[in-house]
Amino acid sequence: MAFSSIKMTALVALGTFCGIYIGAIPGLSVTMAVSILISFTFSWDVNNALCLMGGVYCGGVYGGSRSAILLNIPGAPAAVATGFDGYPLAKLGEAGIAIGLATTASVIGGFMGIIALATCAPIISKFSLMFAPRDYFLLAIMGILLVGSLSGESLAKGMFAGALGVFLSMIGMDTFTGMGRFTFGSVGLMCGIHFVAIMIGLFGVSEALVQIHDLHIKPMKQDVKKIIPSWRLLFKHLPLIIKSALIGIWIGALPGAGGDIAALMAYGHARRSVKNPSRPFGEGAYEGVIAPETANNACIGGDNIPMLTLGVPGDAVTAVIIGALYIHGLKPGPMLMVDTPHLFWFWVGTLTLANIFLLIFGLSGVRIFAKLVEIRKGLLLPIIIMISVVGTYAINNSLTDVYWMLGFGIFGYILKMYGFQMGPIVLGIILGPPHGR
Amino acid sequence: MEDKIEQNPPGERILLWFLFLFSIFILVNAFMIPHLKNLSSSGAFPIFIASIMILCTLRILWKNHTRYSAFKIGEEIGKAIPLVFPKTVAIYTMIIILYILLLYPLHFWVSSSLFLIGSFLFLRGAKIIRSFFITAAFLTSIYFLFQYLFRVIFW
Repeated sequence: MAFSSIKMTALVALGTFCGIYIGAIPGLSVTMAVSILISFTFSWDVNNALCLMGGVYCGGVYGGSRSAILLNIPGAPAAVATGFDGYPLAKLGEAGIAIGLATTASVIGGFMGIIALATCAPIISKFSLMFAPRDYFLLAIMGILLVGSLSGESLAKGMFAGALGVFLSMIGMDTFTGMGRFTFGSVGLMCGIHFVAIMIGLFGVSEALVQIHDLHIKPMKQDVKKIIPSWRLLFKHLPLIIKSALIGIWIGALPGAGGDIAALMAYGHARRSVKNPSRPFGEGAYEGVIAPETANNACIGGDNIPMLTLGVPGDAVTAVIIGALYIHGLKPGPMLMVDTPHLFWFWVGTLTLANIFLLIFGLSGVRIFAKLVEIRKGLLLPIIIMISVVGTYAINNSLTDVYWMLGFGIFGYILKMYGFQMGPIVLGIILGPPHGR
Repeated sequence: MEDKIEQNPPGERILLWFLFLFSIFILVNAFMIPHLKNLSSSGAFPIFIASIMILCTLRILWKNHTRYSAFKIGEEIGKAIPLVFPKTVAIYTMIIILYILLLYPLHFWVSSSLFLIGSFLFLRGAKIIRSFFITAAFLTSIYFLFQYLFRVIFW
């Protein structure tokens, strides 16, 4: 367990801390961070890599709420609903209490999600051991159907993006027949294009280019005072926290639905079910911060259930995390609990530890943090590009990967400008090989 | 009253035609993969995927054809370039390409220093002296972090 080693505990702490900042800074996303991180942790021991990634994952999902509350710019899609009441609270001078409530609600939700993961995953895993080859194929088909939920406005664009991802995964030598596919006589292409280089291009470079369009937007400064919420306030909202966590777990466990849907559904539930909110919804109701924040962090545990037991990701972030697990020799899917049960429990332990650190880092240093999220994009974007370059180079110590990353970055940017989503491409890359088999 | 037809962003039609031609190119190449005998052969799945890509692009082109008809091709290209690559994005994309091309001849540290300072100034992230300081501090931390923690071997 991560708890037993100081080094691993420190890595979870570092990951959670960085994740909170990455999630909070508009323009940086957890998906981008995890994609880049995969390349750096390539040569690491699997346990250390999982510690860092688990921390970044948990911290990043929560971190999005910070900028939603302070700047009304959600750091992640899962934090969109938090801004509905979080930002009005900040304008009323209660940014501190909004952050405090968001943190405690996130941690409670996170723990409930982990409990669900620890209890449900082994049961589902046992059931999935009865799968025959055709069931695996159907499972892979189900994964590709997730494209529908990641497509954005147009299903056809989403399907194209998913198919493009599958095509990219096929470049190189067919592992079964040894036949070269789409190599055009190039020896270099026989090994294919490394999917991490594609992911860094699609999520790092292309996102940085998109952000250049908003260089001129200046964030509003907020005054942060009292942060830790009172016990009375927490106990008063405990039933809402529990209900929102259950919504988050349920939505997360459904393949294709992620934290953004869970948060919006929990927010909608709070609006309908809370009779006497602290203020009207949309004008700074505490309940409007608590419900979505509980749900999106509870969703982490829920998302991990189909991801680890069936190998089907819930959203773009979990698709990238599946890629990371593959890189480290793990095979998320029915055989994970048979071949490497210790790593499943290690992952559960890492997420638990990350939630403990989330509480510590979430309630401390908020004033300094409020200044940091106002960092200029003109400073941030060049650093993202440079880290993307270093990260891609680190995969194989090869500049060819960097050229691919750049190419996919620019291509992804053009696609994004016309409403194509990057999530389905990654999904196609990850789920393409099982289909082929 | 005449209904106003909502227009898709200029350039989308060109992109979709490009993607359509690219998909056909993939399909042709998929057929050229040898030993196409049954569903298990190497080329079968690529043919299926390329067909999906073709159908999707055709579907979007067909669905939006009335919206696209508002533009003439030349006029569309003229409007698409400033939309996708406004001046700042176009120049910065060129800077990134230049940086990556210079990585090999100039080596990582020199090209990255030039890139960071140039980018900070171009994107107005910091003024000259501050840019130098931030670049120096950032590259130093990169050196220690990636050399010792992540063990990346720089070229």
